[in-house]
Amino acid sequence: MNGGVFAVERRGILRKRARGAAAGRIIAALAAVAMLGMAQARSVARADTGGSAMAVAKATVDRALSILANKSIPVVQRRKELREAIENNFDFTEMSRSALGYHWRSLTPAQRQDFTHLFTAFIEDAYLSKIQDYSGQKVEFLGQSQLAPGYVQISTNIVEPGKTPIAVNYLMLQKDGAWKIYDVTVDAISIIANYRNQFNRVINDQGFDKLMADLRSKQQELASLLGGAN
Amino acid sequence: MYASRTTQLIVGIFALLGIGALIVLSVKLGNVELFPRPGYTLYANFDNIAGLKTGDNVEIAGVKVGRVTTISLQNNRAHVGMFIWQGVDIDSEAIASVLTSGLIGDKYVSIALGAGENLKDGGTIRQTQSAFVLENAIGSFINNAGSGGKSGGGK
Repeated sequence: MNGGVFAVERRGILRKRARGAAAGRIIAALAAVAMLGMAQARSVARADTGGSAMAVAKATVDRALSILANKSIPVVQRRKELREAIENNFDFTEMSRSALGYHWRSLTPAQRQDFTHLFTAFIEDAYLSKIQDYSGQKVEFLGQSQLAPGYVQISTNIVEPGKTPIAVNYLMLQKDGAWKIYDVTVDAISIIANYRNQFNRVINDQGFDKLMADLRSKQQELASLLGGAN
Repeated sequence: MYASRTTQLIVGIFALLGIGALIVLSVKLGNVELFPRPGYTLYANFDNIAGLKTGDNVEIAGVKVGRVTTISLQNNRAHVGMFIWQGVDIDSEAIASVLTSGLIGDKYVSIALGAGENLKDGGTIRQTQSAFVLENAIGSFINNAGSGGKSGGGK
């Protein structure tokens, strides 16, 4: 009963001291944040924030469209030019690694190389065969956003008069100073994420060798449809 | 007139047991974690989470490994915080997708692991897949069907 009043006073003094210490800590924290913020801004300014990512994406798409639109040269020639245009701007190693996901870890370097070659050929043949479907669509570049330091997303629309535009995004990463595409999303569905799910199922159920065999037969089927264009 | 001391004691104990059972029931049903499991927090940014709410499951290969704890808007994207239980490793190349249980069930976050290094507490999953919005798919189906058959462009 007696300690009552003094207890309240003691609590008040302790609280004031705590507030003072807390204020000091808050100021220190704010200063640290400010310094970190400035350091971040400086590092971001130095690193390429994607201005040239947009340029690379634009150049790739424009080149691809001009090849597709050029009906005067034979289809086989167009496919060859398209293949060359693509190979420089896509990071196929990154795409293969991402398509295998968790299983990439348990592969030997030789297996990884085999898979990367096969997957590259498969992707090229799968999408090159769609050349015939091109009928004058235009590509609108909407802008870019940063996903993480060194990773950028370029948003585009494929416009065709009379149809709703298709949202196509190019995910790009910066390797050795050059921006490369490592994933493409169509209507918010990522192509590589799709392959990751499929391949994961095949590897879990039937093993990596079966996956390679299936991919190889699929790729050869596509290649023969393309008429052996290499 | 009054019941004996013993009877009163027994009735009191039963009442306490009953209330205790009700408390356990409401805690279990309310999904409140009285003894929180140890774990860490990861973040992911989505373009559209369409109905994902805090408390929804985070799953790997269909097995619950955590739950969604915070949802906020950052840079016009959904910034989702997830509490992952200790012992579950998620790497920097994992893909986080918002999926639906069945066709019209609860939303949940499914994580497909990659080959990167394990993320630490506070890390961000860089690659994400937004929720599938049925209305958009129906809309584009109607549009494309209306304009007479297969669309020429696309993949």
